[in-house]
Amino acid sequence: MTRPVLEVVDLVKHFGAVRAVDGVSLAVAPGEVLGLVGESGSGKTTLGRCATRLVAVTSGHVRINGTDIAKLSRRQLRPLRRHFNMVFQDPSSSLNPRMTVADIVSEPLRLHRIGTGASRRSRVNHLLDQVGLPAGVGRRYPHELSGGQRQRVSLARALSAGPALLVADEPTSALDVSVQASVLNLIGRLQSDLGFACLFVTHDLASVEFLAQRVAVMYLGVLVEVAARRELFATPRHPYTQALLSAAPIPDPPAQRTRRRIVLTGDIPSPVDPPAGCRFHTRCPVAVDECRVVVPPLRPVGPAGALVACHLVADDGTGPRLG
Amino acid sequence: MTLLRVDELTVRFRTEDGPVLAVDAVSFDVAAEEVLALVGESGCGKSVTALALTRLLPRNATVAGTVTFDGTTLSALPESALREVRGRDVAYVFQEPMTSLNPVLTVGRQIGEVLRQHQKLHGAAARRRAIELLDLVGIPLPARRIGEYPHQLSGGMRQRVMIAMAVACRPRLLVADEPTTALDVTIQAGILDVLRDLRTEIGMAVLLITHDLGVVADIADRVVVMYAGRTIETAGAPALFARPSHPYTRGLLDAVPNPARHADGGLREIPGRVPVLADSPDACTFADRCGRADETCRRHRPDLSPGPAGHPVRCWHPLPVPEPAVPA
Repeated sequence: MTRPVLEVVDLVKHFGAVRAVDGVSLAVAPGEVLGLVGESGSGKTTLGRCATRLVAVTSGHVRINGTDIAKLSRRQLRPLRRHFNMVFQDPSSSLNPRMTVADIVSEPLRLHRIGTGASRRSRVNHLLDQVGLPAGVGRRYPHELSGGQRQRVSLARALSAGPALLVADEPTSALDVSVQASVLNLIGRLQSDLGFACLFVTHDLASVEFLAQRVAVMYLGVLVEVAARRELFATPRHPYTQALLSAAPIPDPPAQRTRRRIVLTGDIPSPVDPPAGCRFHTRCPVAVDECRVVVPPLRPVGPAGALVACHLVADDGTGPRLG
Repeated sequence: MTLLRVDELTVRFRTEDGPVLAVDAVSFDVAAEEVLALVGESGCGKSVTALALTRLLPRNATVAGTVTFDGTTLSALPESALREVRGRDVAYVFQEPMTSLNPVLTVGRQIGEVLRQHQKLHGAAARRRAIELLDLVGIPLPARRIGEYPHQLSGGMRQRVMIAMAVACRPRLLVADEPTTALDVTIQAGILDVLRDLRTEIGMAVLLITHDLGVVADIADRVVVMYAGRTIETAGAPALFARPSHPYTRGLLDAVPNPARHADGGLREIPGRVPVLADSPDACTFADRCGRADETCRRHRPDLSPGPAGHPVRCWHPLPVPEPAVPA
């Protein structure tokens, strides 16, 4: 197997008593889009921020192209930052309002001393064209642009230094549906043109289904299932994955009104004091005594190598079907 | 039976950048116990329409048109009478429960206030009723929860409290503006179930304002699609999804990724932006973004009239009804 662009091993991130990420391992291969899905409090955003070292890591490893950045200082990190970058949910708060679009997009080039003034200018024009913005936009300021255009600027900035990894945290969640479509199409097109690896963090299953080749599902700081996209959507194995897929309404009234739905009771427990055993057992409709005591390991099941952390799923991938 | 009738509702705002026409002669009905979804993207006027029903808009708004609720013309009522209608007959739930709840009062006090105001219930009777209401919206251990403050509750529980307060007086109409948008999908599913149950249990109609077509597909009986302040299409929910007539409705449906039909060829995009209008143009407001637009669309305002699929559409060139799939 080729070396992964991003390799996270036993990653732990605690904020004081809050165990936001509590032992996660995953890898993103070159040119792959891995969708990381979960609900509020699952730790998905924190994992993305650890992968780009926007926050310090409590323990574990974060390797980018083989280099472990988990414990590097800010100074040590700085020259490596051209290899990975991030886009955020709200482009209006992640773009400097006092800089022109051209300055925003060329900033990574200046910081990493890539190219000359003239070559940077032509690179910026090329990038703006790649993200579907007219060349004149370079002279404008973020407030003059629409939400969708600002997100295109964020993408151009994130990709300007040619990173091997892009972490996208809910990049379309703040946008209207018609604009979401164009940004999702753009990310898909850029990814296949430029070939960067992408960790796509979102709560929106439909956009993951559209964009990702593999999907990792997080619940309360841990991974509960990792599988190829088609496999995960066709045969979700973990009870939480099944509940999550069944809860997302699909825009088709006859199908939506006749499909089996699993409504979970209760709320996601506090990450300060997560439940013992399987963290999902307090809301799991099929939990047994073992689930309340023994932590289920994330292990390969079934013929296609899906990973599932559930005592009730057998090695051949069969297990409880809810609903 | 028609419960709510909105007739030619028009809302203008005076702003620093000049007048803005937010709602442009919108008309629709809500029948008793019906769930009507008002659908559109940001700026289409759906929330302003909801607030205008009981005159909840800020002072820089001018409202024209008539709103009739159960035979009473709300638009002609004085403020004092309208205050009685709000909360008792027409109740509201908004997107973000944390900003609508008072952080320094317990849940029980806040529900009690509604009961005192509209139902003259006090003391133990109010407390009993508050517990019943929390139970009705599916909050576990309601007797304990009424002593808690909003910050002690999760987002989903807060929204259930908001719904409990809204339905405390058994309103005939619940106006729910993006009630699940801030919530996770597993929590959203529970809230939609609560709305569905309440509608049959207390015989309440719901005007649901949303941009989420999945939610519409789940719960709405009928749908009104809005664009740039105008209603552009209205139909029963199954018909709207199966036989959209307006190019904008078709565009919205195609823009949503749908796991049931994986779009390998990419999602359809709608080019351009929603216009902000100072005045109602004598044209179709979607013409600049529409692939079917011609001179007629740019020079004449289309009416909302029955289209090829049998339901009303505001379009000069509505889409043909798709051929039924031929069984192989």
